[in-house]
Amino acid sequence: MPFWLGAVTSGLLFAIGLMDCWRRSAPSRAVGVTLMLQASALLFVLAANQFSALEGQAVALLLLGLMPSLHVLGLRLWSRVDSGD
Amino acid sequence: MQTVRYVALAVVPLLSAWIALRSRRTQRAALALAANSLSLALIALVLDAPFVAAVWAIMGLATALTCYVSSAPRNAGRAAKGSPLTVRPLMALLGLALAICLAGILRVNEAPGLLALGSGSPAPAGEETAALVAMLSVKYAPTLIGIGLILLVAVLGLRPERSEP
Repeated sequence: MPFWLGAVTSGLLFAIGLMDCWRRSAPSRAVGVTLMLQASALLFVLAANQFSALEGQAVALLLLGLMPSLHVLGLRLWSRVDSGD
Repeated sequence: MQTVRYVALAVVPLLSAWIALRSRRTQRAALALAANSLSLALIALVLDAPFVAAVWAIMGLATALTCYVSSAPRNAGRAAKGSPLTVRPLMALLGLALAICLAGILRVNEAPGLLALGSGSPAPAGEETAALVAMLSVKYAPTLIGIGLILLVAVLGLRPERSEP
């Protein structure tokens, strides 16, 4: 895959996730956080492929490892914001 | 032809992300999230990162399952009316899959096929293990501290609510 196409995909995915976090009326905002993490991980994998650096893959793995906990944390925090705590 | 394939590969995660965010039904959103993760894992596979792709697919499916299970109270009434997929069997399946994965990690060196092929990693000696642990803890200490802090925040965020008297 060409670097520019992957970068554009990553950027758009990040923007879609961020847009959902911005709009607090949307039903599932934690999905937005997950999508932003996915976009970041994709960018690191792209960079690792482009520059032949294994560190990029390591950072991508780290982001993916954090994804479930941040997803659940996002669900909890935003539900509190909604309930006015 | 190759470019068309790559563009199709790039459009699938964007489309599934849009569906995941715009869908009003949790079940459909969870499925779209799983499709998003799997398509991104496929891109990682194209970019010569097979291990990242495998982790991505597993994590994505786990997150999508969590998303589905967390919507359990809303689906409870529907389940009582005869919905085929209730939460308890799903939780049992998830637990079973986790147990199999953990057992696989523990038993991977004892698998007969691996040992017969000579591809199982040899067990390190005691001194080598201690040196390896010391080297890893020194090299990755800042990363571990960062992960620890984020998990601490996650645990604090997930603590049970106190019921009001």
